[in-house]
Formats: sequence, structure tokens, C-alpha cells
Amino acid sequence: MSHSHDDPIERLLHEHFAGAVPDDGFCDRVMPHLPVRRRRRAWPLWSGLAIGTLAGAASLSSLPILRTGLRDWLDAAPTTPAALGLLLVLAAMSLLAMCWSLGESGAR
Amino acid sequence: MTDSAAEARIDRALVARALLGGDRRAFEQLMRRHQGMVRAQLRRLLHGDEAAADDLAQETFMLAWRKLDQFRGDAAFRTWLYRIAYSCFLQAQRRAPQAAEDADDACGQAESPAPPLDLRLDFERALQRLSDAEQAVLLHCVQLGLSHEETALVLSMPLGTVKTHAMRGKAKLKSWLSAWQADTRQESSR
Repeated sequence: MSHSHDDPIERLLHEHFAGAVPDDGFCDRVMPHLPVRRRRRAWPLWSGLAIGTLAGAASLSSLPILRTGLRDWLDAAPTTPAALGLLLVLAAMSLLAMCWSLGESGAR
Repeated sequence: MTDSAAEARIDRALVARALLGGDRRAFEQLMRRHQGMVRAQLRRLLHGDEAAADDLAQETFMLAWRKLDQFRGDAAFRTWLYRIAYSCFLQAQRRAPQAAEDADDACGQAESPAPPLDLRLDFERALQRLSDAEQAVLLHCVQLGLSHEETALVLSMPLGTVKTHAMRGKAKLKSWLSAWQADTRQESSR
């Protein structure tokens, strides 16, 4: 793109372009035709999150490593393999959530 | 901060307001800011058919309103609007196959070796002789002031193709107009 219009052809193209069209009531004519915006419903997202969390908890609750890790952690013994595994899973999930949030905020 | 950056910030703020509570007045402001250039773009694409251009501009803003949540701010808002307007234009061309065929014929003529222009052939006619793609690229790159990258986005063309069309279009205009100038000089010397 050149803004200097040193090129005679570019200068001619600019001279030949009428530029922005005056409104002349265009916006007033269009505005009444805009449909009502449907607001995005939030409940499907929250229901999905709740169902997913419950299903995950239900399927993992039968695993002894989870209970052992949680118990070790609460007993102030976070160096056991079970507690470390639990910590790693939580750290990985937090990292993923942070990356997703950063990606979304960057895109906005 | 440059003017264009400030303009882009204002556009993004208005989009956010329009999205947040379905604020129609924010969208109206967006429309008032951009309608002039979108209508100019469509008039140029439709070779000056003002009524058809305004119909397509209305369609463009209705679509923009419906799809506003898809604007992610990767490109400037005006570029996003130009892209929608260009898509509307292409769809209208497809809906009117006869007109599209005529345009193709005109395009075919433009691609054949051009005879020397006579004195009556002015710049407008020289422009019409370019292929549709070259006209569209020169319109967006030069007349609407978009960068090559933005033009590629609006026209859904590879960047290299945009640059080639811009270069070829300008070269053709230059050669045709230099022939016109030579003829003018000959005419005035008689």
C-alpha cells in the first residue's frame, strides 16, 4: 500500500475514486430492519460443566490412588507418589486453563 | 498512537458495547462510521449501480449485526466489513448468472491482447478493461487504502496473487494510458 501516490497510476486511481458516500438517510433506513439479537444462553455451558465434573468425580472416586493422594496431602505428607500424582494432575489442569484463558484474551 | 490504531480501538469498544447488551445504538455508530466506504466499495464493484450497491450494503450490515460475535478483532473492523460486503457482492453475482456471464465476457475481452486505445477511451474505460480480479485488487489496495495483506483477507486470495494482480493491473493501465497520451500528442500537433 502506498500513501504517497508517487506512482502516477495510483494518483489517477485516487483522483478517480469518489471516496466515502454521504449517509443521506442510509443508516436510518437500515436500522429498523435489524433483527432482535438473540442472547446466547448460558445454561447449556454451566449444565455441561456440572455434568462433566460430576461424571469425572464419579468415575475417579473408585480409584484408590485418588483417595490415597488426597488423604496423604491432607495429612501433610505430600511427597508420597499418590499425593505427587494428584498434584501433577492439578498443576496440568491449571496450566491448561491458564493457556486457554490467555489464548482467549489474546484473540479478543 | 496513530489515527488508525485509535480508530480501531473505538471500533472494538463499539463492538464490545453492541455485543454486551445487544446495544443497537453502538452498532448504529459503527454503521455511521463505515457505511460511506462500504457503499463506495460496492458501487465501484457494481460499476456505479447505486441502488444495487445500497441493497447489498444493507445486506452487509444486517449480516454484520447477526455475525458480530464472530468478529474477533484479528483484523480491523472495516476490513471485516469489506470482506462481508465482498462476499455479498459475489453471492449477488451468482444469483444473477446472466449479469455474471456478461461480466465474464467482458473479462475475457480484457484478457485478450488489447488494441490501442483511441482518444475517447478515458481512465474509467481503461479500468473497465482490466480483469475483474485486477479491478478488485486495485480498488481495495489503492482506492480503499488497504494493505496487501488486508486485501488478501477481504478477497480470499493468496497474498502473492494480490501483489501480482496489483502489479499487472497498474502496468496495463500505464501502457494503455501512455498510448492514449501519445495519441493525444499526435492529435494536438496536427
